[in-house]
Amino acid sequence: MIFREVEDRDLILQTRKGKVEAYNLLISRWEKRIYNYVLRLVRNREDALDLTQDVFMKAYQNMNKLDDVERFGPWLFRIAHNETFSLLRRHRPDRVELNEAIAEDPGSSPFESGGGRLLPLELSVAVTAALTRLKPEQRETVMLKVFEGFKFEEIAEILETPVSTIKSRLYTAFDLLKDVLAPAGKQLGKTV
Amino acid sequence: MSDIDLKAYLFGELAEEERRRVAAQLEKDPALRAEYARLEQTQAMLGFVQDEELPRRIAFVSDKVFEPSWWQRFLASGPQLGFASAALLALAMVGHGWLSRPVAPVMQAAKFDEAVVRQVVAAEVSQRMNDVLRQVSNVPNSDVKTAQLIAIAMKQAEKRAELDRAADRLTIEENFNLLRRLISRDQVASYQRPAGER
Repeated sequence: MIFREVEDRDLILQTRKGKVEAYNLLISRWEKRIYNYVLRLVRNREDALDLTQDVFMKAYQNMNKLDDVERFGPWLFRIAHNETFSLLRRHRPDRVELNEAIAEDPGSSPFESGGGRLLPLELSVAVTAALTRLKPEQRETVMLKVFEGFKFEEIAEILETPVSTIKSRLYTAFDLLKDVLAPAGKQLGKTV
Repeated sequence: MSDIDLKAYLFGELAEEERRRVAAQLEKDPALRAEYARLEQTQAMLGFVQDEELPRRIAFVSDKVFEPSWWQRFLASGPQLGFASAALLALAMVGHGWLSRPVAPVMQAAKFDEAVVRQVVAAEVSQRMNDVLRQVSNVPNSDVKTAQLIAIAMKQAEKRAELDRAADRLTIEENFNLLRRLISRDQVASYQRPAGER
């Protein structure tokens, strides 16, 4: 665990007083998570970077509306979710970049072509491709749970969706991933 | 197995009692253990997804446009808000004290005012009189003084002339008396000499 000399809540309070430097430090702590979350949803680096910038600008402008400074993370991800899906609703079809070839062929498995042991980077690409087979809302739920480690209640807060729906999406997505990743799991067993 | 929430157990979302119940069930049930192993493996594989670095850092400059307005900063600041409340309370106390202060009798205030007014009016009247006099004579202040000095000098000159005239009259009277005494003495002497000598 990395020891943080200044807690996020202190930086938020400083930001509210107009200290831009405090907010820059806050950004440096969260920008990579937000960028990757957005990137996995829009699958376009330029869009992801623009959206990340927009997310932090919106968060700055609305900092005084954050009721509980301890819940900055879910609040920030909710902004990211809203901004991202706002963009996706505007022009979804023409923005596919990452792992497009594998993702667009639902009949193929990401692990059929190699046959040998998968290296971590290959495994990363393969799992990313498997994620693209999920519906956007399923993929987002998996990301928030597995990659970001949010609790069910926090995910429900971010997506403004009931906890029961979140659990349903996550469980369905996980079953799909379990089936798609099973071949790689066998190879992973050999690798590890 | 249907009432066992393996995924919630995997994600650490179960309460302690329920978590223990699932753990005990996993110990007993090989099929359940196998299913849980597949879920664990799937989660482990998802962990291989690597995060990308940002192409460039995101940072804000100190731009006034995005900075909170003065009242937003004020409301966000506890100490400032507290100080303002204290200041407002102090102001209210002073205001209350001022409004409820004992009022001085009206007559005393009138006397005081009358004296002041008299003084002011007197000064004003004096000033205005001087102004009017200057306007009437149409002479500047310095000329008035000169005229006064001339008048005094003329009075003194008149006095001196009067004294000179009085001295002259005395001199003439004395000379006339001396001449009359000389004539009288000569007449007495001529009467006292023999007839053949006159």
